Amino acid sequence: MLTRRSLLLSAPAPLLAGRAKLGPKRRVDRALRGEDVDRIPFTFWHHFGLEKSPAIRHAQATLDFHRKFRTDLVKVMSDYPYPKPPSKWPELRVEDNPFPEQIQALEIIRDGLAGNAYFLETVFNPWNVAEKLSSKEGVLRLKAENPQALLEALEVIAESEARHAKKAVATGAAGIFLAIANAQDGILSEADYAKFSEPFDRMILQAVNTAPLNTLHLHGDKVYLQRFFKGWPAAAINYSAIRLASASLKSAGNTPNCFWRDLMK
Amino acid sequence: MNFRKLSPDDLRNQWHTAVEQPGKRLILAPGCSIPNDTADLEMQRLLKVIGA
Repeated sequence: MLTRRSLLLSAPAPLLAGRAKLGPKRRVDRALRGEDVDRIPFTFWHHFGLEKSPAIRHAQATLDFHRKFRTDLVKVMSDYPYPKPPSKWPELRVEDNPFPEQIQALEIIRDGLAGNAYFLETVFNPWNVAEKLSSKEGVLRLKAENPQALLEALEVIAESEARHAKKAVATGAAGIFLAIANAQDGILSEADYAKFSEPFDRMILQAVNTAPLNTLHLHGDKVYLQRFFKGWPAAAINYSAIRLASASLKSAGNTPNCFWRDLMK
Repeated sequence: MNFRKLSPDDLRNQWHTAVEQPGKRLILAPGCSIPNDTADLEMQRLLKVIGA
């Protein structure tokens, strides 16, 4: 059920002068509702490369980054690996807590933020996890040779990640940031995305469908965007507006973009 | 830039979809994670631009 919807975009909004300074949560809440804000809320993130480090280091790096750059929303990276198959790919079993270190990190981050900003847990979709457990080529090969086996493996991963998502929200996360990189031309056809990925992506979001800030991250420049506009239990969509629309932005007479890379040139 | 491969109509449609639909409902964010070699100074410039 979609109750609140907005787009996390790489594009600017008019800044309003003369307003009292808002805190990060109120700024985000108001933007999501389409209300005036003192300035556009922002966030950014990166991979800290701490997937082999304990939760405390990952959490501390995340909090330090947030404090240093005063982000309005803390998007927590999740680089801890999904557990290796007990036998061999694609024979998997449902994991009740596939990312225990990450859950610990979320608890530390929650305590560190002390309620001052929302935080979101990153979840890479089952197709992406399958690629990490096998390889890009291996997943495509299995799709061609034994699609049922792939579907079964993806369902197991989705169930495990749904459990993780619930645990993340239980720690206090405002939602999950579901990273979808395969809903685009050149990776999967739209029909293949609909068959081999969408049901499992939905399973995860459905598990936390009451979280207020679930976000769909649609990675790439040939995304099947229209597919995601209705019927997903997500409050926001994040995608690269510059890649998809910067030429039109220019022709429309607006600032081309606020995609941070280009601002820094 | 990949957007150059799209037709003007595709771009226009995507622009309308992306920006006109949400109106004020915007949160500034990159399309993906920022490179790890990004300098603090570069980040601070962004904050300055948006008035943060």
